[in-house]
Amino acid sequence: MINSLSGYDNVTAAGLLARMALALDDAGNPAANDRLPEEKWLRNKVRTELYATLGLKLDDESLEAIEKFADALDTASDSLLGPLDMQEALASLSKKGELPSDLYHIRIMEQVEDLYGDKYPAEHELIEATVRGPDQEQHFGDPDPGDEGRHLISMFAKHFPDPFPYRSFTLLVLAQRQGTLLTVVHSWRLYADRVNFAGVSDLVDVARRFVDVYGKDILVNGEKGRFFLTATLTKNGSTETTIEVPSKYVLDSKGRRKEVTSAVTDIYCFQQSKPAGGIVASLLMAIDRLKYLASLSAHGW
Amino acid sequence: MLLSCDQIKQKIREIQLSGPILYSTNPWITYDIVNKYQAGKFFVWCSEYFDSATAHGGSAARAIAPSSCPKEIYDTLQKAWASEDKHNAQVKGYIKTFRRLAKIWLDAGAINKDQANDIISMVTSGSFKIWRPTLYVIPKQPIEIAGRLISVPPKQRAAHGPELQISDLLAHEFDMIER
Repeated sequence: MINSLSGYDNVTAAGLLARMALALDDAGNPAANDRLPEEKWLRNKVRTELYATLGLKLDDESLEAIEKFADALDTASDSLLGPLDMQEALASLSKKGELPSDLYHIRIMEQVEDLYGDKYPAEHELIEATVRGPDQEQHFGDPDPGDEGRHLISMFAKHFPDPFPYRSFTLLVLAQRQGTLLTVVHSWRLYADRVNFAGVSDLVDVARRFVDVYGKDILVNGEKGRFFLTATLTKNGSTETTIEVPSKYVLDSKGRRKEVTSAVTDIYCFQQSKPAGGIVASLLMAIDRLKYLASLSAHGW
Repeated sequence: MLLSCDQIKQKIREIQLSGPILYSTNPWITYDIVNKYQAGKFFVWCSEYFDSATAHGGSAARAIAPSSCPKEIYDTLQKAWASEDKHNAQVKGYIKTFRRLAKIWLDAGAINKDQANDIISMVTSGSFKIWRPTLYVIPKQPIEIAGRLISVPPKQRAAHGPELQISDLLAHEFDMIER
């Protein structure tokens, strides 16, 4: 504790010490200007006290002395504000969607491995690169501090150029975050010749454009569509029972109706039950897996 | 035609004008934090010259220290960012500055304790993504006309070359680019 500041509360004292330290490094920064009426006098008093503690002569204006003094000011102001629980602070940033994405522990769901098969290892690397250094990212969710079980949604996109422009693509990654854990729910390659990026406003819009090309119609609570940003699911409280993929059929050579079951990947990024009942699901869509994989092959995947 | 003293000074100023743009290099996190907690009002060090090393030998620009040259700062920060150099002096300096600013803003009542913790935890988290360099391209004329362009006194400069500051730059007054 610095005796010269004993009459001040911790926040005020820490503020003054921080202003003194900033003034040493960043002259001209208005944040370093005096705030208290007697601040000039106080700064001198603190300097005298700290210089004596550090064993420095008051007329020592060498770089080493100034650096030592600045470090002492920082240490003193840190101790006034108390220690910071880093894990808690990072989890809080994550909840708000503000945690730098290179700090997440990444887990990738099996359905992604299942989709890419043998080529999954390469895809895995691309997903990690996209999350750690995205060109664009978007984070959603209701940062309700009382609901620890809530899953929050994050989207990331990164462009991967190729010497052959036709093979260049943007990887779109959809994930849920909980604390510092990021679970990748899906990841898709978007080729500019297939998915029209013109005028997209955000990553939800990018996902919507992707679904326009590769999506399948789904019924959510009886409403037909390809992409639902959010939907409240009420029937039986289960996503499986309320989202349906309408069956398609073809007529065979004898005019008989034959059901077609195409491989479809369902994506649910859902949040927890609402107190009023039901589940709020977000980014609901179904993807025609065969059409998507065919598109990858056509681009030299 | 005879010119008055003021006219001569004006002519000299015109001849010395280096260009219509000011450059300032800052890490990406600056933009994020200032927009979030300071209503997008930036304090920046800037220069009329992007790359003082390529300036004419006798010019004032040539006298700008590398540590104050936007291109040098950008390149150094980019190297540190790309290699995740934890001991980079520039990154360490930014961390110190943001920790101090968080305490100053907390004391000033501009942010609360949680927000101060958010800033401190963000810059000390070990993330390197946040130190990605960005270049602010600032049209000089409106700032200069409004008398907001501050010439840094020689004593506070890194070398003899001119260095400038703007203490109230607004987010809409510049374009942020990456090389």
